[in-house]
Amino acid sequence: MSSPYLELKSVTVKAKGEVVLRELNLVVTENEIMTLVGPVGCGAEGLIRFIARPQNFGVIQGEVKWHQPCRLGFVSNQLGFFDELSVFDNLSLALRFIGIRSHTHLGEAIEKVLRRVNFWPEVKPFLHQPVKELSLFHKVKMNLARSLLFKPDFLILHDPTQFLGPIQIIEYENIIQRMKPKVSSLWFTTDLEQAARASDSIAVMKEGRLLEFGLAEDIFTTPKLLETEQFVTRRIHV
Amino acid sequence: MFLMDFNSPVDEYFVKVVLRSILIIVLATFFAQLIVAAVIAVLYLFLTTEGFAELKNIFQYLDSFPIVMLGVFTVAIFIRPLTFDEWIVFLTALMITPTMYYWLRHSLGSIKSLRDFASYHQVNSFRSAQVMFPFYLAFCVDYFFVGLKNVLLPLVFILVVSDYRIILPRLVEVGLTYQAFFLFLSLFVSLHILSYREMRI
Repeated sequence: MSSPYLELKSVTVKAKGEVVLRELNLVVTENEIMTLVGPVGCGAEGLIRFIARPQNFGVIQGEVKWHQPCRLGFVSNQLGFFDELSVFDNLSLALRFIGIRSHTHLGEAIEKVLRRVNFWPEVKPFLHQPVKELSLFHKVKMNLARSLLFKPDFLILHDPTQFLGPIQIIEYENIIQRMKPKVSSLWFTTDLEQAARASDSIAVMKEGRLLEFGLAEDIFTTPKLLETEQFVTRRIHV
Repeated sequence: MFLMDFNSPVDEYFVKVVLRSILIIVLATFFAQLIVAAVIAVLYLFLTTEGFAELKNIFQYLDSFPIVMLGVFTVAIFIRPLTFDEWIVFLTALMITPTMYYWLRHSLGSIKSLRDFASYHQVNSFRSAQVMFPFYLAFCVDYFFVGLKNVLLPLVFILVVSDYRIILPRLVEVGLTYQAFFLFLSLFVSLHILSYREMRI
C-alpha cells in the first residue's frame, strides 16, 4: 500500500471572488498517476492550479496537507518556448532560473532529461537548432523535459497531449508510466480514454466538487453515482 | 565611387551629414532596442496573466504597424518635404520595427507562459526576470542587425549606385524628392516582407 502524498481535507477556495472548489476531499498517494476529469467548468483545472500555486487563491475553509516534502513539477498545456532560440537555449533557461550556469552542467542535465523522455536520439542533431524547426510532438516532449529539469517528485500535468495524435498520446502516456516509480502524477485531461488507459485512480469532478473518486477500473465499470456513469458514458454534455 | 575628395563640398557634405545621420540612426535604434528590452522586462515582472492577454489582443493590430507608419510618412511628405530630424525618426522607427513586431506580437505569449512556468516551479519573479534579461538583449541585438540590413543597406545601395555627388546636393535642396522617397518605400516594404518571411513571424 502506497503512503499518502498530498491530502486535501474539505477544502473550499475562491479565486477572483468566485468559489472554484467546494468542500473537496482528495488523497493523492505515492507512485501513482491520478487523473482529474469532468465536464466543462468542473473545477479540475482550478484544482491543479490551486495545488501548484496556492498563493493565488483564497482558502475559505479546509486544509491542504503534504505528507512528505516534495519538489513540484508543472507541465502546462501552453508550451511557452521561444521559437527563435535553440532547443538547448530554451531548456537551459529553466536551469538558469535555479542558478545553474556552467555550460557542462547545463549540457549534462539537458541530455539526462531528454533521455528520460525518450527524446535524446531524435533531438540530438537538432539541439542547437531553433525550436520552430521541431514538430508539435517534439515540442510537447520538450515541455515535459523542461519540467523534469527541476527533478520533481510530484508532477502536475495540465492536459499536455490535447493536440496530439493517438499514437503520440500513447507514447506520451508510456513516458509518464515509466516515471511512476519515482514521480507521482496528477493529470488533468479532457480525454476520457486517456484517463482510462493511463491512470491508477480517477477523480471525477463537477462544479468544483468531487463527484466520485476511485480506481480507474471501478469508475469506468461500476460507478457509484448516476452522474458519474452519465459522464463516463458521455450521456451528459461534456 | 566612395573615393572622396575632402576638398569638394559634396564630399564634405557626405562626411558631415550622411555619415553622421547614419551614425545617429544606428545609435538611436540601438537605444530604442534597449528601451524595448527594458519595457519587456518590466512587463515580465509586473503584468498579470490577464494583463498579458489584454496586451496581446491590443497588439494584434501591430501587424499593420509598418504599413501605418509608411502611410503617415507618405501623407507627411505630400504636405511638405521631411526635415532631417524627421527622416532620422522615420528610419529609426523602420529599423526597430522587426524587434517591436517580434516582441510585442510574437513573443508576448511565450514570455507569459515562461513566467507562469517559473512561478509554478517556485522560481522568484525577480530571479527569472534577471535570467531573462540577457536573452531580451540578445534578441534585440539580433533584430538590430535585421533592421540594419533592411534600412541602412538600401540607403547605402541607393547612394552608391545613383552617384551621391548628383543626388545629395538635390536632397539638400528639397529634403528628399518624391521619386527617391518612393524608391525607398518600395525597397523598405519588400525587404521587410522578405525578412518577416525569413523569420517566419
